[in-house]
Amino acid sequence: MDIDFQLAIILPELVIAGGVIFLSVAGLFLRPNLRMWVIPLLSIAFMLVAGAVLIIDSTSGYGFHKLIVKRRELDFFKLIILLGGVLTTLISTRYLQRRSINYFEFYVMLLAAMLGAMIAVSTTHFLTLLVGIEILAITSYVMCAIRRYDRSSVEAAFKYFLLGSFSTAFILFGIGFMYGGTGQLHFGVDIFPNGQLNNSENLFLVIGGIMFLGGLAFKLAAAPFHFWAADVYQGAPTAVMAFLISVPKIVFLVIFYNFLDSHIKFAPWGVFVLILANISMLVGNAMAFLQKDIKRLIAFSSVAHSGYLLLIVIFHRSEGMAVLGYYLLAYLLASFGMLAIIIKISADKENILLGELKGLFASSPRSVFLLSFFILSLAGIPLTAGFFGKLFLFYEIAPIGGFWIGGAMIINSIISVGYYILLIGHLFKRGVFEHSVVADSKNLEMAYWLAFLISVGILLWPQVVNTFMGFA
Amino acid sequence: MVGWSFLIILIPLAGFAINILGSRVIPKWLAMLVGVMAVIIPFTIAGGLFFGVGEFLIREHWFNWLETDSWLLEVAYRLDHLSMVMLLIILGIGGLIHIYSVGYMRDREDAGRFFSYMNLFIFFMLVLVLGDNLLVMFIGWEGVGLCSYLLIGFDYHRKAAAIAATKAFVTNRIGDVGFLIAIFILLNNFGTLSFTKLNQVIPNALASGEIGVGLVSLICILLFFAATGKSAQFPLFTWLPDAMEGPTPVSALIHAATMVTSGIYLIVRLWPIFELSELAQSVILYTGAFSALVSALIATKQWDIKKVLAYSTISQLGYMFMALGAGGYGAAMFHLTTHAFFKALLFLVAGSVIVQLHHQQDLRKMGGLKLRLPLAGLIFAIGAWSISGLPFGAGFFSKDELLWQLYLDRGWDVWLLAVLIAFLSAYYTYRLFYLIFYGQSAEHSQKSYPSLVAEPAAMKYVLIVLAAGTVLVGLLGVPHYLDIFHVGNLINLYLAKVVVMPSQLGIDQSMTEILLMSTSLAVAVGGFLLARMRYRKSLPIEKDNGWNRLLVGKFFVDDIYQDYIAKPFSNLVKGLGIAYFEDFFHSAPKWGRRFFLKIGESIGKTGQSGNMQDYALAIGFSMMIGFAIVVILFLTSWLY
Repeated sequence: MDIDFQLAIILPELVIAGGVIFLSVAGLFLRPNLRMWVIPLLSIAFMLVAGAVLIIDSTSGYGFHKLIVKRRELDFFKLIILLGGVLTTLISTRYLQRRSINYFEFYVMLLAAMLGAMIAVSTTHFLTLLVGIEILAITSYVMCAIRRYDRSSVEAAFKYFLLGSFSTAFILFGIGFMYGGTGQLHFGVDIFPNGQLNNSENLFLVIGGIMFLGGLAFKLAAAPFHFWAADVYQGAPTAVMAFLISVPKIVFLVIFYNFLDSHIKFAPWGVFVLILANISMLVGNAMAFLQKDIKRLIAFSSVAHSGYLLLIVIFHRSEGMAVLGYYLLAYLLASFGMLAIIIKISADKENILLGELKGLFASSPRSVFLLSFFILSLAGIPLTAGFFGKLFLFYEIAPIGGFWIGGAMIINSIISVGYYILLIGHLFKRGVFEHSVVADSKNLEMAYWLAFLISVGILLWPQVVNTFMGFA
Repeated sequence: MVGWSFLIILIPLAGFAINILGSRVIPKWLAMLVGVMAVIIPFTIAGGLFFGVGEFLIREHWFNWLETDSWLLEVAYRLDHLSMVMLLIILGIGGLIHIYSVGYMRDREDAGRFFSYMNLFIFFMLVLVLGDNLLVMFIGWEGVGLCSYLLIGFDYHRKAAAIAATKAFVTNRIGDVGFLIAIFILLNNFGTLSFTKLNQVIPNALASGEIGVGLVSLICILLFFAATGKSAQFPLFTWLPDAMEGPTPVSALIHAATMVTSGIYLIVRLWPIFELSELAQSVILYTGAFSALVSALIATKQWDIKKVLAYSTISQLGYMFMALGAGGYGAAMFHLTTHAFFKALLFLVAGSVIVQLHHQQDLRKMGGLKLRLPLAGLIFAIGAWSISGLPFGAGFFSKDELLWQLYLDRGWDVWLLAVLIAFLSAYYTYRLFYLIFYGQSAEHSQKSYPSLVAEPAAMKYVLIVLAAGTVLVGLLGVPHYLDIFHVGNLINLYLAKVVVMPSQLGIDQSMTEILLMSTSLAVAVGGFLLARMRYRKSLPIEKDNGWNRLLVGKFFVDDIYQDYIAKPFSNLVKGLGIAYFEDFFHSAPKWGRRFFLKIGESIGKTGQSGNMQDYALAIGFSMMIGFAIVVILFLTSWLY
């Protein structure tokens, strides 16, 4: 295989990597008032170029001795990762300015996180995977700590860092065990010699797999590995939280999917992940009822969403990737839209309690409309993209998983509607809204309208994911 | 592919969007201009398509909305001869009524809102008639229902309007259940909703014995039930008279010319399926006949100018359904066309009279207006002439063909029933005419209305144009014994490309036809003369006997629904102690919430402490449990 093709395979990643280097140098030479808007603009431009490359280049294949894989399905996930990056940049600009933490390094870190995320998605080799995960993780720790004079932000970043390192250790150990068991570092379906990973008599392999999956579950914030999530999300800057609850979720679900793709029948791992999924749904929804802080509520709802999505990792047919992609896209848009509005309505305060939402409808009806739309989308109420996500998910898991699995998912979504509706109820309560609303940020507005429009777009054309992935 | 249908459909939507989004910015004249142009432009496109393309079927597939292994839902549009007829009626008469509304709404502050709703209605109506499958049609079906609701309740601060709007909406929802169930059955059994495919698949499946005729009848009757909602037939007709609370242009456009005919359109669209079921055809025929008779009887005793016209609409729609039941799809479509013209005309004239009389709708307070409103009188006379089926009016041709169809398919008895209804319709129409324009003396009217409100020019010219159209539209379907120039029955020839035209008329039967025609003509003239006799001079004294009470009480259908359906149901609910269930359903979510709060608290106390050590411990502990599971599974599988 010639080197040109290999480079073409990682062209989007190269664009982003070039962007990271270029911006980190350029930022040093630009005057502060100039780089305030040049760096975000350039960073978005790099992401758009990478996205355009992803859309145009529909080839597939392996490169670099099968360290990198390019498939149309994976391209889609990289595309929505980049969408997440663009939205994060848009909602961050005014946010960082207002809190006078407008370091240009933030955007460089974000771009580097994109790079890590894209590498982690496009590989079926443990070492490349580890590189990707670590780039993503380390940049996330830094972004969490961007409000470095704020105790809660630093605490969140520190918790995230220590516990994240703890889980990385598990991932590494797991990889080591599996390597010890099989002598292989590849885990792709079509590369791995048939049956070698399905050897249930190999205790090294089995234990290693559990450690690996447990480490991934931590990153995904799946219960019972989720305890860090609420604390970290609550403390992290809201813009960073939007990034953290969506982009790593995409990355780690794709890794789960790639890893388990050929090994579904391999009972111990499947049972382990199924237990994780059920506990996540239950704990996430139950804990969300308890929350008074809107960011914590979203954090626990994201735990529950991890649970739904793990189900599709276990129970899926050949087109499961499309369902996963649609659900994740809808989820990403709803999360970003919601948190963008929350940034908008919390100009002077980082954390808003549910009770403080009263009177919002009177002071900013448009925000309430959009926020309700995104909440309903998360809840999966019909006429939102989230509904189609849940519908496709159910169609996919129910025929294979059977009555109990489908039923568990349905019951949990019904439970979740309870707190989502309560949240909407708070939005319409009478009273005086006591916080000031950001009124002067075009970027922020662009972000939530973009999220809204794409949500409506994929609602009208649900087949878009299938079409992109070439299934339809 | 996206092409003509895209343009035609989206221009009214754009008009709606502009007017609703810019309602605070756009001045009134511009809003009106946008509203009118949003209908006129698609009309010119449709006209160009009509003349430009001869043998045409345009089918445009926009995108696949949803697909699964067993079925596919597409968003696709088709423009064939049948939808072309509907398209021209909707956009042509719709355009005229939009222009009329410019005059009607000139003093209203919220004209922008009015025009945006009207454009939205046109958009949904186009979706309804251009949809290539039942799903797209259903979207339009629901959309026009919504617009009807919005427009009936346009003066939402008036309680009567708000109640009427709700009634219309709820009644239509009842019919929609039939539509939805039919869609489910069709999807489940045939996996498609496309008209073309359904029209082939179902007859084939029936012929090969895959499905029984019972299933086909069920589907047809469910669809017809939906049609009774939208087209205001028994048992769901009670909303239409109340819908007259809306502004008069709305009554003309939605509740006379277009929306209420969508039930007819639905059945004509799926005629090969309805043709298969004798039972469904009889149900349609007799329901139509019953509705037509009852509403014509009620119309003879109404005192509200618009309510008379509303009952007349129900009656005429019943006529069309009778034709459908007898397999006369062409006749029904022809009557639909002429009806759209003359009923819109009558409504618009009524609106003009109402406006000029300072919003007076009560017939007993009118009379003697012949000399004071000469133009309205003349135009009303044209409309009345047409609807009564008097010679060479539009209704004469269409009613004649319809009656002939009934006679051929069902024989004397049904024909006689239809003739009776024709008599009644001539009677109530001329009753209306004489009550408005004659009856009282001119001095009396001078006393009650010293001054008249000037009629806006837009309204006047629309009336003249529409009157001319009403005179001419009958020529589309000249019966062959009058066909001196041998042009043929144009509308039947046109529709024959899509719809079968049963029972070619033989020459030897034309004597029978002339005989029947003469009879029905005589009956119509009889109705006219009776009305003239009773109402020309003055108001007759109404006798208070049982029959009159029945008619004035509108056959007590509303009261029957109230007393025998709504009340027993609520009593049943109370009697069964469902109130306790209600308590249960109120408190169950509370218990559920409390339950989950408990779970959450117990997890929160043990796990969610905020201490990192605890979290790390939890991770390690969970990992250990994972190991334990694996080891157990491992050992058990290893042991055997």
